Amino acid sequence: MTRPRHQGPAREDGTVLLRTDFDHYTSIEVAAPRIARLIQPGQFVSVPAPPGFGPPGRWMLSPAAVRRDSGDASGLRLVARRSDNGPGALGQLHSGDLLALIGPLGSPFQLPAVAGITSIIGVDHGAAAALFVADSLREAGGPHQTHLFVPAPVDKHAAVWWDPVPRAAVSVEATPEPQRWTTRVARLAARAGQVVIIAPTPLARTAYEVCRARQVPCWVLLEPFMACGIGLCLTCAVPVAPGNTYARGCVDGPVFPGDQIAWQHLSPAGRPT
Amino acid sequence: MTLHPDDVDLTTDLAGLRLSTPLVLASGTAMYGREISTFLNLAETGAIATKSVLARPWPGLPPARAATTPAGMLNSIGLQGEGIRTLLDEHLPWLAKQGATTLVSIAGHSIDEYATCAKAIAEHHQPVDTLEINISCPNVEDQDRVFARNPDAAARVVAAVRTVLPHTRITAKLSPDVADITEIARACVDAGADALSLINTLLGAAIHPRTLRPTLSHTFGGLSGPAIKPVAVRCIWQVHQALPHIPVLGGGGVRRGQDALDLTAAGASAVSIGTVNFEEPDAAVRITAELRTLLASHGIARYRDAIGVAHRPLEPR
Repeated sequence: MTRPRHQGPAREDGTVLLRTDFDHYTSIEVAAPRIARLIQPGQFVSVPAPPGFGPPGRWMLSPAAVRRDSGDASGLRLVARRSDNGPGALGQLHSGDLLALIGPLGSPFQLPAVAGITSIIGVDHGAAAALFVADSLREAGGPHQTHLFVPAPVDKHAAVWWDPVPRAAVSVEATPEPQRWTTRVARLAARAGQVVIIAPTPLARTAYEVCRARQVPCWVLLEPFMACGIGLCLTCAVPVAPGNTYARGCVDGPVFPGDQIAWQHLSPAGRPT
Repeated sequence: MTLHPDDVDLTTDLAGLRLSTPLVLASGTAMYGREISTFLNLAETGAIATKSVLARPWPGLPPARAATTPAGMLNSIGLQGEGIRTLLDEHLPWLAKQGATTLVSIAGHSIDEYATCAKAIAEHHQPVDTLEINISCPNVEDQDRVFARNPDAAARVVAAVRTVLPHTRITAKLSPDVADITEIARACVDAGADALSLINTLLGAAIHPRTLRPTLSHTFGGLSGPAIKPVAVRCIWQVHQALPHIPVLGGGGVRRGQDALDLTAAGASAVSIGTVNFEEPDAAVRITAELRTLLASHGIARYRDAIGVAHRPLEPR
């Protein structure tokens, strides 16, 4: 049996170049030149879960940065939350390890040009994808401001979010309590021509509702549970309006216009998200 | 005698359906082939069982639809699908163009709905020569009781489809959530099934650790993955012993060549792989190679000679 050759998502054995552990996160630099060449903001890769996790034994991660100009060492920076009860997705890796990646997966952001700035909000590990979006906008010359919300305290241990290459217009702060979240987002949306939100579903929903109330276009990158990430399993269903249908978060998403999501079905009260 | 793996003949037969290798992509784990075809050559895969379709497009269940467990995965998709018409109009022609061997999986919430799917197939120009009937569906006309758990209900589904499609190869996919799977198997065969697929997922549930409420929106879901392999081996064994002349498409927790060989030895004429496709979409390539090597190491030159071998006494050395 043979494997077909194609230009779509594919397996690529990346090589781990460096792992850095922070208080709440682990960051790795992984050489994966094919994926680095193709991946766009909003897209993600699947990485093998550590032994003992799953099935499904794959976790989906959006890169925090992509290095495209280093030949065979071109690759991705992946960041994953460290787990309280295990190694997390990346914590057992060492330099030189092969990492069986699949990617690039999902459909990328296609942000329209707008009057005013694009406000990019990344919460927790959504901060990774937010940084990649910011890089892309900076290269394209689009005015933007990036706001990362991470677990407190925000000190040197949060350094995973401060790139060695200085990023303009990136702020990092502790994620506010839920009651302050609405106020904080409203302040950010007030100055924005459009908002990009990458956050756990309840926070993303609140942010979307703030934007809708202010008539600010809002783009949401959702991170639903995905067993496969390639459109086979239908576990990552995203209810879309109108019509009571479900999109595949992994293929049709993970980026959706906020107005397209049937939020009341995605995160009904009392349901785990 | 040890053989070279390349000398092993992997061809097999499922009630007259010739397969170039015994590995079948299980229904619901490969959609209609397009996505997985970027990782696999479908023409070189044993077969693909398409995702079960109903008589009409169906949205499925709301999220959350899946949960992980230490040795398996729970899912409750709720038969989301595009319906039999789209399958016939769009997906089957595409699969035929790829050279794929296809089992068409149909489902229903009533016996009428199964019959409607069968009629759509009978009236369509796209040929369907092998059907897998997913009978693990709730019967809305009988308090949502699952067809597969009652021999009479299971038989009525198979008979209804058989009446409409007298010349189509029919396999019925059985649930392990029954007291006596051989009773259901016999009922399906007596009603017209040429072969049997087993096992479907086992019903399970999970509690969310933070909310202490059901993780799945539907509360219950199907458990798949390594946890269910011993159940699959047991069910295949029992059905093969009871109905040795009926071919079985065996599946449940297959991740390695050894798993495929175990199910074959228990009585499977071909082996489906499911959950493993989610994390390794080209798993069929690896598992086929491993199976070939294992058969060679056992000195078994033809896959077909391994079918049900566990039921035969061990020959003294």
